[in-house]
Amino acid sequence: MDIVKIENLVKRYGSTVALDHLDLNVKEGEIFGLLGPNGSGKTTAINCMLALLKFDRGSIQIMGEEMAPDHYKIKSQIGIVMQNVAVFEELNVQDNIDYFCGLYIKDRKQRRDLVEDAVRFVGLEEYRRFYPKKLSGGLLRRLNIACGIAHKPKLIILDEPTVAVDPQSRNRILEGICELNRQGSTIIYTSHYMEEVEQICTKIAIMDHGRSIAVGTKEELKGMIKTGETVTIDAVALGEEDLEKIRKLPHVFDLAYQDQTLTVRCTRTSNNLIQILNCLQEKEIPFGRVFSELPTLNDVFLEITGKQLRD
Amino acid sequence: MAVFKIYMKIAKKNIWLILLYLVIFFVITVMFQQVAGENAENFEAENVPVGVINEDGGPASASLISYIGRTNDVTMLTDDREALWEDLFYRNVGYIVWIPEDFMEKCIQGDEKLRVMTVPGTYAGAYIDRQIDNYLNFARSCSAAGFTEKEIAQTMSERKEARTELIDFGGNMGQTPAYAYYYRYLPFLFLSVMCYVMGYILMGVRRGNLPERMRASAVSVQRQNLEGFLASGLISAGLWVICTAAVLILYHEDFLSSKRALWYMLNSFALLLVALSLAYLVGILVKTSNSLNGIVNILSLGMCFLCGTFVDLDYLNSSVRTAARFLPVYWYESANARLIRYADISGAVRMELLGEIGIQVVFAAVFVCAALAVSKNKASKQAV
Repeated sequence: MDIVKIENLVKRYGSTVALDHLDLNVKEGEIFGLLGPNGSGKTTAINCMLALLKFDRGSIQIMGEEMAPDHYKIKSQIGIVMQNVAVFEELNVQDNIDYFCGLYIKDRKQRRDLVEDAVRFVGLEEYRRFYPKKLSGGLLRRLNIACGIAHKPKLIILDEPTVAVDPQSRNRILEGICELNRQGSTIIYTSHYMEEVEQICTKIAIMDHGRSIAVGTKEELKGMIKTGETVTIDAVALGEEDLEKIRKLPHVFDLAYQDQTLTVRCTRTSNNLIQILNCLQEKEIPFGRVFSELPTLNDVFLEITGKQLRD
Repeated sequence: MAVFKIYMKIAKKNIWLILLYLVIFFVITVMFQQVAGENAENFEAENVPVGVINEDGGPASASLISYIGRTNDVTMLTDDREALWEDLFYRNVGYIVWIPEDFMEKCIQGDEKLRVMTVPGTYAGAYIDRQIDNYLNFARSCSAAGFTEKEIAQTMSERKEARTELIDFGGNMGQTPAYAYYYRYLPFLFLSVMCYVMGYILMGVRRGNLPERMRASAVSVQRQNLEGFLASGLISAGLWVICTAAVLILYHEDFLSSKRALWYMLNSFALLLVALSLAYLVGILVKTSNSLNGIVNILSLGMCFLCGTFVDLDYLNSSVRTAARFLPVYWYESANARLIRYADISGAVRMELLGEIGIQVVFAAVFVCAALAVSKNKASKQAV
């Protein structure tokens, strides 16, 4: 079942097109990643889903119903973790979680249990009485997440929740997201960190200029591109003739030599590395560090758009 | 009632601010009350020590000395220039007058002026000059009518002091009652406290992505607004109740027996509406504590100085008063001044009072409309 269905969504800011005929389908139980550089339209798409923004064309269905600003029944089943921390500086950790949980759950006893669960879930037990100003960036992000998920919603939307977070807190947050998914929540996760998306998402949509340029599992996405392996070798004094010989090897389709580092991109076959090294040995070219990488989502983005994900 | 609670919690966080302003308000009120009390004595003619050198000795000169002596301390001096300078220097006398020989012929029938010495830059000179001119004018009129010197002196001694009967419309023997000072300084308290408290609340609930976060929640926008209005209403009503209770405790008998208590309360309630609506507008506009501080000081102190709170309306020049008419506190203070002047609130006075209170309510409505327009404009910018 599609828990979120976006069709042909268009959103313009004056002459700038923020969302350009965007189509997305998020199935129940998925951790759906929206990956794209800053300004690619991820947050705009989320704000349209939450009916915080009006859009020019298209439709958004959540849990089978058309989303509208006053559709509070749907809103009650959504948890939102905003990109910028949205908590009250005047309330301590516990009161903040209780406040946001109170926007969905009226029963005080039930709310108390849910708040307790959320505090434990994000590991803020020792900081219950702390005010946001006293928390580090990582702890503040965890509080932000606790405020968004305390009411145990069916759909959780996390908009870049790990920006400016230390590695320890980041790992904790990512583990927590997987745990929420195991507990039955569908997750929509936006980020421009491809490693994070690769690590936790079961399905990924790559966005650029307001369009979804590729959708699938990470394996499916990597399968869409020509690059099957990238071989990098530190080699001194490679001449044009040597490079030409390597370029003519089978399965090599792209080659670059810069600052005495040779980067060779090959299609998805075996023995690419051995063939390149044999070629260098035949010509008695000395070489140092050698390593081989499987394609990343950045390669996918690079091959489709011609630019790096973090450009 | 989550939104209601957050308003109350932020207000509670700023309770120290409310207490601070209450203390400042009570100190100002008591201080001004005492200063005004000291100055509120009955009118008495000013007493100046006057030295007289009488070279005449006739009945006319004696009657002049007697006339000056009615309201001043007269000391007879000898014509010793150094001693006279010394008396003036040590302020033994503030004014010295020479009455020449043949005073009647020279000064009453003739045009000779009396020789005088006074301390430069003091009001005593002008004051006694006027008294002497007054005497001479009257004596010259009598002389022209054929009165002899003796008759002039006798007529002058029989002349009675003019008395003016004052009608006490205010029912307080011409005095300003103590509770009137309390109500006079109330705008400073209401404007400061309401702007600060509402400013901090609205800054708190509008910080960062919180408005979007709230709009994405399961609580309807209408309900959020309703709870916000309820909380603001309760906070402002609480302040009004505290202030009204304080006036009842401090001036219980005087206040209730004045028959104007309800009018004072009504006027202060209209002012509260103005303060609340203005605070709402300020709260929407400001983004930082520093800008809130600046705006609150400009608004509260500015209005209080321009509109007759700290400086009596009667002392303000006409252009300031004209400008002040465009500010709500002017109409509050104007109504207050009317309540001090008239004990019986009926007929035209009642209508004028209602008009002044009505204008305050209109100001409050204008501020609310402005706040809603700004709020809507901001929301539409966010929702573009």
